[in-house]
Amino acid sequence: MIIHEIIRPRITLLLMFLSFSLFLYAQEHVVKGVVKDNNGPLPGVNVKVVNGKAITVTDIDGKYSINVPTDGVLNFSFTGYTSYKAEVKGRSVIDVELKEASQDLDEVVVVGYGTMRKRDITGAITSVGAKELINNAPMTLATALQGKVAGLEILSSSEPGATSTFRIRGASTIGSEGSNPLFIVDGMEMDNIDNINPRDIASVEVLKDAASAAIYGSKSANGVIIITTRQGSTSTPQVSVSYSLKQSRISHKLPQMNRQQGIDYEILRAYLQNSEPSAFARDTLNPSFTWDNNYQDILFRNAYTHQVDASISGAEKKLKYFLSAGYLSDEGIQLNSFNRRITSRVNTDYAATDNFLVSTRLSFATGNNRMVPYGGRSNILSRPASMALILPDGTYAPVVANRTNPLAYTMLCTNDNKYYDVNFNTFMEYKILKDLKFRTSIAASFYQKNYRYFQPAILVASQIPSSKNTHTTSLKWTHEDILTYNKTFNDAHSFSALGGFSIQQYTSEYVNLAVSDNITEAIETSSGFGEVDMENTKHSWTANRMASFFGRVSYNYKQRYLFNSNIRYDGSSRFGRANRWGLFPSVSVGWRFSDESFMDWSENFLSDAKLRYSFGKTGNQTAGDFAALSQYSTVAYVDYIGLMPTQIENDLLGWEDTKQHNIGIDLSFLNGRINLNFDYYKKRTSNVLFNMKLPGTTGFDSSYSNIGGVKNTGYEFMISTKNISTKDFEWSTTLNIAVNKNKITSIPSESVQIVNDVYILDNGYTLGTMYGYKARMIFPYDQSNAFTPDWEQLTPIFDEKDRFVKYQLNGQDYNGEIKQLRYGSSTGEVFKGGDVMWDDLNGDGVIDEADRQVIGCGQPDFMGGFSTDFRYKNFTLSAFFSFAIGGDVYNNYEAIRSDHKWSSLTMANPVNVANSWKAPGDIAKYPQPSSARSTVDNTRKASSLWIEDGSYIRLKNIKLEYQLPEKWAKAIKMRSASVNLMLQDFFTWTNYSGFDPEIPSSGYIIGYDNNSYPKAKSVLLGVNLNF
Amino acid sequence: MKKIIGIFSLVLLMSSCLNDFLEIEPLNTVSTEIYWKTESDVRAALNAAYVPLKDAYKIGFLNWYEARSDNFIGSSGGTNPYQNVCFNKLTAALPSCNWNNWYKVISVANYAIYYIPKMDNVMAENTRNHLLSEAYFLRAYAYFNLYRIWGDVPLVSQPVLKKSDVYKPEQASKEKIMELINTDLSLAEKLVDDSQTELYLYSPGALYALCTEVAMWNHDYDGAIKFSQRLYDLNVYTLEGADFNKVCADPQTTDNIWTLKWSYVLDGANNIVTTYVNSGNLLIPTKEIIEKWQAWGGEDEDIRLSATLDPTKITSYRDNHIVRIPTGCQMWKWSPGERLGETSYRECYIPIYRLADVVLLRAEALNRNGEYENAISEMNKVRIRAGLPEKTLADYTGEAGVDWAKIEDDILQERQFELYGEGKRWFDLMRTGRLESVMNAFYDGYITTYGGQGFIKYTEDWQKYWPVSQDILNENDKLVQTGNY
Repeated sequence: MIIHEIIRPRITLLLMFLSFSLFLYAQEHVVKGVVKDNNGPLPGVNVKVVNGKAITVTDIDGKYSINVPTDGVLNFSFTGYTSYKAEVKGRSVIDVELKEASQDLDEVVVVGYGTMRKRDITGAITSVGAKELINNAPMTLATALQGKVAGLEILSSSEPGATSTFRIRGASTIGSEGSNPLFIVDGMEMDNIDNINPRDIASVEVLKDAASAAIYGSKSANGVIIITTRQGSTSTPQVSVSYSLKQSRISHKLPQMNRQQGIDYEILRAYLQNSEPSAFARDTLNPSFTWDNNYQDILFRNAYTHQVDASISGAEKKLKYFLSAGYLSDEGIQLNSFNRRITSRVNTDYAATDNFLVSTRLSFATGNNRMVPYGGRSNILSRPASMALILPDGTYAPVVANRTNPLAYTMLCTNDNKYYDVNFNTFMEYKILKDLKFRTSIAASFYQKNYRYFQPAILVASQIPSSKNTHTTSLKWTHEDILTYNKTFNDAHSFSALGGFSIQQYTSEYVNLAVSDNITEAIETSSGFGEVDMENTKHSWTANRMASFFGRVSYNYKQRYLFNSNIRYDGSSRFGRANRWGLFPSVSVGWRFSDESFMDWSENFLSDAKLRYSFGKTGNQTAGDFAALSQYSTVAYVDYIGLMPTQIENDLLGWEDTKQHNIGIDLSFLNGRINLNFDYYKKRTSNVLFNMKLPGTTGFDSSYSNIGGVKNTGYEFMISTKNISTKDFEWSTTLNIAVNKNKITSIPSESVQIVNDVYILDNGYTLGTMYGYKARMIFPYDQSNAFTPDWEQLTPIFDEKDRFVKYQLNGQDYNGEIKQLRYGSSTGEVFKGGDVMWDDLNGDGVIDEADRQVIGCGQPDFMGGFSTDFRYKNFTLSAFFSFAIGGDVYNNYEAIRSDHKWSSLTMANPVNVANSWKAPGDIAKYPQPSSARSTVDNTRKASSLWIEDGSYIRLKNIKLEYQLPEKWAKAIKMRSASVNLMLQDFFTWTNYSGFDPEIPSSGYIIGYDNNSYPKAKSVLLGVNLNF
Repeated sequence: MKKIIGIFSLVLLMSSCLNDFLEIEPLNTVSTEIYWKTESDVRAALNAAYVPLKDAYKIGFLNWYEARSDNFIGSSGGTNPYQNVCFNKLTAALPSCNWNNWYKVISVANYAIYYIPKMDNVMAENTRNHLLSEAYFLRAYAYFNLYRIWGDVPLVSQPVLKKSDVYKPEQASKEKIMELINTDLSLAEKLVDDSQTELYLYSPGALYALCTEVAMWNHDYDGAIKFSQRLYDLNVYTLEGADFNKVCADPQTTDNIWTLKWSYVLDGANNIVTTYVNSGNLLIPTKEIIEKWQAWGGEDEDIRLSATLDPTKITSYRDNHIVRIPTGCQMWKWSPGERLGETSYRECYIPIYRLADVVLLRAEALNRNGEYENAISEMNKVRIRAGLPEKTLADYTGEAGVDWAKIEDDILQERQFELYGEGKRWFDLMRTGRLESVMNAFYDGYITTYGGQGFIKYTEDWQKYWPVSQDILNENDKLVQTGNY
């Protein structure tokens, strides 16, 4: 290689000399040179003579040679880079360095069933490229995309293998499962994207508005995420290898009571309720009660995650290929939890003839995911620190007084998910005419999950071991036929049309074996059964089918006036015959006003400006698979198996639809150095598929109906700037912000409810609105519960011996009528000192359900991401922040352990107890921590005591990368090499007291912190090598 | 234009063909078209009724049938404070205010009553009739409970097959409900096959026991005598040799007519039995009844006492025991011989009908009809097993002749002891019109003596009934709340 390098310039020189002498007087001559970017030579760059015919492409070393008129102009263009024009001026060597365009408008963007130039987009689509995706060494697509797209909210937990929540432009429906976006991977619809290796991805497009999504019709109401995997492009094979090692640990521990605090707490409670502390608190000899555990220290660890990936890609004349393999061993921060995964992918495109292309996308993933069982986490903050975890003989302590042993659960309970995920998509493309293309495809995705659960006898109070084996197999296949026509007339009118047909089937089969009383604990599976759980030992099967017709017409005049229209006609097996088919049209228009002559004045700084508007209707069909049929399901009354009518026939069931308007503007200044995008949308969902409660007298609980509506409005703003761009130093920043407001516009009165006792589902409320009692203060004295008839609070006055003397109002003695707040009813208990003074909303002097009110909302006011990248020579420093401001969290975790009521074996938060009322006169934040002093429910109801501000700004990652200089890389036969050091989730600015304010939501339960998995913070060291 | 029309007609044509593609039937659940074809279909359909029945018991049994009576006192803690139930402080928030499980039983019965007559020639006439009688029986039993617990309730006697059948019914009067119960029972009684026997499901014995009890509610003493006689004539049940220690713990004796069964694996711990046996401090026997029971046999010991309760615990009932519930006052009836046995983790049973129940009802009916001697001899059947001396007519004959009221008092006292904890006491008080007098005396006497406060005495008729759950009122705006709740 080294020898080669030295010889090459000589030959070039020789050739140059020759050409010079030969064509000295000629009009044309040969120009040679190397095209590079800041990383090195660029292969595959188009080099074209302006107003001429000659065209060439740079080779693997970025070299080219071309015949050019001596006064000609050369144009260098390459996808993803700003094209560059060079005047020849008689030169014969022209080396060019192309600048990467962060937002090049000629970039091609993937849209539904095709691609489009970014210039021509009229909808709200955000595209994320490969480089940006793997910047933070992600393990899943969720972590790769988080915070990078305005209007795409991703909530994930640090638990290995946990699924994340994706929301595009808020929740459009009140159904619990119906707000997930549609995922399309290489043209194939997929339900589970957890096993896609982010390193295999070339680009992700997020289709946010109805007009972009409507070509996916009935499944696109929540937006579409299109994932395109990588493909080879260069003739020499490119090999990439990367490895990263990550150390994670719990980022934030919560206060919990140690042994002494537990005893003090019990003594305090006993004092307040005038009784004796329980034996357990006083017993200092029983070895079961003399421990002093900090469960968080015991159960959480420094976890190590290894990730190795390798890929090879290339392109021959007829064949393009990309192959990859990856191994991930992700350790959870809690002991004995992990996700180990192998992924692999083969992508090939083969041009059988000039007109005929055959392609395959094949991916495989398998792994084992051991998750922490419920019992390993549920009581770690509330279990007394003094309780034994391990007995003197070295075995785990069994359940004591109904308190399970979290360490035993973590270590002994089997809770494994083995999964196998195979996807293939084969398609053929045939050029019928020059402008007419036919594509047909068959895609299938197979998913198998084998769940194994075993609970040894020692973990449960009943001392009965039990095990469960669940196998779920699902298969989805899709067949599609698509005709596309593209034509440009007179260099001004471009026209394209598309028509297609698709059919799809999904089946899922589930077999569950559940047994208990296993004959021996040596056999963990269901085969060691002692007794069979009849109701859960069963098979179930579900299926749905869809058939669709779709089409698109787009037209633009000189890329100045743009028009686009999609239509889809969908039939679904889920609905009644009468309403089975749904039509989903959309239209969008764009106007590139920067091309208008009246904008000539701005030419110098405004490079591109486009106004867009779109309107469309999309659908949602998230009801059960056989939601329109009457159904009976098996139920078991001991040994008698029965069939119960569980679903009522509803042949009128039909589509939920969402109509969305979107108006947007894209501005690009100073040749793409500043890019601005702004979108405003209004989304109205009607005929919501809602599992409506039925009157109990029907014998049914609920039934899917097209009822209810939701409205979402919001805007998204994105700005990316290249602040400094010189050869050695570059600095760029991007910021995106999204605001979404939503509201339930209609819901049947019988379905108005307060879910989980906190979330209200009613007309006019935002999804995620928390509803309950509002605490105003803690009564300092028994006598503080005194009001005027107008409910103005009186101030009790005490003498020097703390004896009550009189009341005062605004400094004046008060002798009028005195009213007191009562609990539950007008004859209920009078609130005492140490009780919460609830807001008596209706002013009737009684605190009851009628006094509940809005106490918070889980949806943030705005959220987004901010990133900044510095490059100095070979060093890159990048930081990425994500933020969500204004959302509340209902800290149920805290509510449960602050219950103070039922048991002396439930430990409270020591910080809250310190801030609790303990003696008359205390101005406290929390009520008195006992149950018998007064029986009013101070802590066991949904109230503002447990609402906290969940706003946060998080430095998701900060990364320092060193790129080996090209020369050195070459020296060790590499294209490039880099090492990086990264801190992930290391800094979070929040006032939230729980583990983490970022809580995966489901449906309208937004910001409900219930036993959430603690957030991990990590240090990562990574190496990337490219050959 | 033609092309466009062509494309559209092609799409329409194809979409109608595709409709067949879009028809799929579920595999492991059944839709109506392929159901209701064989005898086993009907059997499976009727089996389903016992699941909501069991659920109804799980939610409400203790509250509806026991905690309100003078059998128990309850603790003020927990999500369902039994003290409030005991003190007649009911609120619409209690889970036992929800009647939906009963309507699920009714729905299953309505389906069966609708479909069975449409099934021709698939099973023998008597089999079909017996299955149909089971459906009528289940519906009658569900309404009988609704009637006793809430009084006026919606009357639904047609199956809800389609979404368009859904409607929001108003409450029907108690009398209308009783009319339906009587009609259903008379149909069931005509269709029943006397040769069938079952313990955990419907049987002729269960039907006659229900008929007897309903007749007693209606003060139809002839009817009660007739139906209890038909039960005797089955020659299946007898108290002789039926071990009282087993009637709840292992209820397969000749005393047990109809029993609900719980399996730990399927249903988890049975809250009724765990409350009785394991907790021992949520709902405990009154001190009053233990004392009364100890005195009941005179010199002879009533063997039922030590088989039902732990009489040694009486020392732990301190003077404030109503406010501070003593711990460890378990019932032994569900786990004889083993204190704190592992009842939570094994099969549990709730007997619904026992022969002793019917025998005592028959005694009451005979007594009311003036057949005192027969009444006493019925009562003696129960006393003999309890190890108590037999009563004679002379015991009740004074100067003014036979004191029938005293006989009834004793029969009812036998019922309280014999069926303690089995869900009979509260409705016995209601049925015999003794509710106000007994409960108010209980509050003013026993409860007040030991420091209980805040009870609400019975003065109005509506107080006997339960409030309707707020959830149910929200679901159906045509319903009204019971009385002044």
